[in-house]
Amino acid sequence: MNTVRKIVISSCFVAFLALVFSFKSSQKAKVSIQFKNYVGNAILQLDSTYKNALGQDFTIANFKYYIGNICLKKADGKSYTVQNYFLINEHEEDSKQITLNDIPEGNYISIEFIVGVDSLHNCSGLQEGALDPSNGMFWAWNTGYVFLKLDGQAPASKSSGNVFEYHIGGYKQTNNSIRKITLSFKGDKIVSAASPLSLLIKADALEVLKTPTIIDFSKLPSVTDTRNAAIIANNYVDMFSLLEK
Amino acid sequence: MKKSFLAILFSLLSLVLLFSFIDNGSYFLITKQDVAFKKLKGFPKPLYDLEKNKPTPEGFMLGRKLFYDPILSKDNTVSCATCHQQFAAFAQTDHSFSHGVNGAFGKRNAPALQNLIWRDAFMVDGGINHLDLQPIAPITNPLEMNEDLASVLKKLQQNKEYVALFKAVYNDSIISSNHFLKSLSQFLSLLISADSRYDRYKRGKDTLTKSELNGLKLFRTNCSSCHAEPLFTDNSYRSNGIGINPVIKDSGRFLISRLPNDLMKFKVPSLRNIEVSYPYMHDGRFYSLKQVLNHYSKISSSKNEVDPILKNMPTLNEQEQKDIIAFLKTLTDKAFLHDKRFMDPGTHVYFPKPIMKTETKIVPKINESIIAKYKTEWESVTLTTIDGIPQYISYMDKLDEITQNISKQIKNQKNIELENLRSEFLDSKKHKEAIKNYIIFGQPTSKDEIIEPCKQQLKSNINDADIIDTKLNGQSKKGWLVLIKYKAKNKSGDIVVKTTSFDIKYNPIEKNYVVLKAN
Repeated sequence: MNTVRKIVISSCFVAFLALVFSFKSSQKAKVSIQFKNYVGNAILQLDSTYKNALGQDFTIANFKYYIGNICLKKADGKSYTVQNYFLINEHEEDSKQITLNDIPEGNYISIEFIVGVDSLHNCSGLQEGALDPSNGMFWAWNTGYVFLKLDGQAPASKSSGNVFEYHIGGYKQTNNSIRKITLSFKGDKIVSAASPLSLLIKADALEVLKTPTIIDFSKLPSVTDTRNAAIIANNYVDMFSLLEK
Repeated sequence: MKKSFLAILFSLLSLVLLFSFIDNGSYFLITKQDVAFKKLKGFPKPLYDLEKNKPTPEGFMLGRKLFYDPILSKDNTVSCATCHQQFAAFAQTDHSFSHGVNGAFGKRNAPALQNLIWRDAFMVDGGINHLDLQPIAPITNPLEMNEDLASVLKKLQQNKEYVALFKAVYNDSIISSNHFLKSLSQFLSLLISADSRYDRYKRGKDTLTKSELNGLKLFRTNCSSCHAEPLFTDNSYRSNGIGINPVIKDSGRFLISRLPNDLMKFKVPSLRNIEVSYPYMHDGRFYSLKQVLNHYSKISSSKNEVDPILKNMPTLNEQEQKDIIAFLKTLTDKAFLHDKRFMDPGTHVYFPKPIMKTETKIVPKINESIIAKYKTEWESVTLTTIDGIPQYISYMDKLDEITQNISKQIKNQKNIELENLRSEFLDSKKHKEAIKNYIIFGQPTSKDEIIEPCKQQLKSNINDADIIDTKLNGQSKKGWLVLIKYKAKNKSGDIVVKTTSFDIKYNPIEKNYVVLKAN
């Protein structure tokens, strides 16, 4: 009887504490992140011709990538992580706008995220939303998500139709194309319900094709499985940067 | 005068002929028991989490319909069942490679689909890590169905019948990849083969011949380290020395892992139903078990990459090979190959079509008085007999008719409620009582198909019945008498030999057979 009373009292206390904390942390802010695709310094236009680092002409037909595990870091070392995945698709304007509600108020210094889909989501069967396999970013024959797709045409490519296609994926240790991106803010950003945070992120498709490895369309027109994927994955590490609004 | 008489006679005959082809589909009806997963003695815990996608009768029937529907392919010509035929344990008989859309030719032998819930990965290279994701591969493969997943969903969404079926199962008119693939999994997860003669021998319900027993002994010494019982695979990848196929150049597991060590390794296939799922190997190069055993007999001298475990394989003599083959044939599971749950249901739709609605509203539950009325009507239906033969199909027809009527009355209401009611009634004591003493089956094609239901009925009545002998008398179009001799304990605990007879009558009206109550 005594122990039952103890349990009841202690659970009441825990519930009370939870209530107090939930009130305390109920001040939530909104963070909106906009992705803007570029080729070098120009905003990506699907019908424009660009030049790669070797001077080879190319046009882009398709540019898509998964963003996940977005983590906002505070000055005091604490952080806030969003578990969702987002598929940024050049063809869909709406996909480029991410809005995160319920972000705790605070003094934020940086944003982190991954390009790709972590192994848990690659290994646990059917997923929904951005990770729905019908979104076309999925390898059916070797289970796993395509993290980034960059398709287009380049006269230098000797594939049929002069196409180039870079479909990058692979979550296993031996062929891991997941890349973590950290973007630091210029100075702290004080985020509150009254002053939401708005970020503009530049994604430069040209960076997929260079640094550290310059991609020669005539030599590597296609990467569509985990072979050579690391080359491109190492290239896309530096494709993101923050633009001041 | 004579002419008009002939005309009338002819039209009457054609009417009779027409009606004889009408089948209301209750043969394909699935009940809750049909989709219940029963734990199998000696089998490990399934790797597929059935709790996350528990088969329901409606979900299973939807999955089955999709499995047999060519709508899944680009030009609506190829279904899953095109290359996965039930009589071949859902492999494709006599085809090294199967045909896809536009006369395309696949690059791998279609594997048997059985006991999939115990598989850790799919395809001979193990490239696919989850049953729910497996169907996407053949659907999107240009050499198979050459379709796009989003496009399949679009086609299904444009099909009123499918929209209604998905709505009835998931209460959602938008057909998602999730619901689509989960329905297929509900069908695939229940393709379980565990009732072969070998299984019954293990359970002490059947005996094996001397040759089969010797085969089993040889099998356990030489084969079972890879083809481990009871699934007859250890789910590993191994190179068995057959060498690369010069045309398709399939390097197996290497294609997935890219590890040089995995070159020419393929997933160890299950040997269940091996007799009917020929040809063998990933490229279907061997058409007989004899060829396969010849290959393994000579493996110690193979120049190709061979798994170390196979290097000590002895050369088997003629008799030993015969015995192993005799044993392998005991893995043929006739109950699975003829299981009516898995057959092509054709165009039958078994649950009343819900009313099409695009907007979703919160709808009230079905009026209590309607439920009561429905229940009374349902319970008033009795299974009638003509000349002592129960008219099962017309009984089921009446039940369906009542459901249809009620469906009309409650339109604009949640049809899922009606589905629940219907399965509740089908599970009810009254219904079970009505059909308890009868087994109904269509047109048997073998002796076993007649005897098997009788054996099952006997076993359901007398749990410890140990069948010694069976006998079949009589002829088709009249019926048969099945005599089953068995050993069982009597009231005082002594084991006695008894014989039970089952009277099977042909029902000329419904054109099926009924096993009447055992004497």
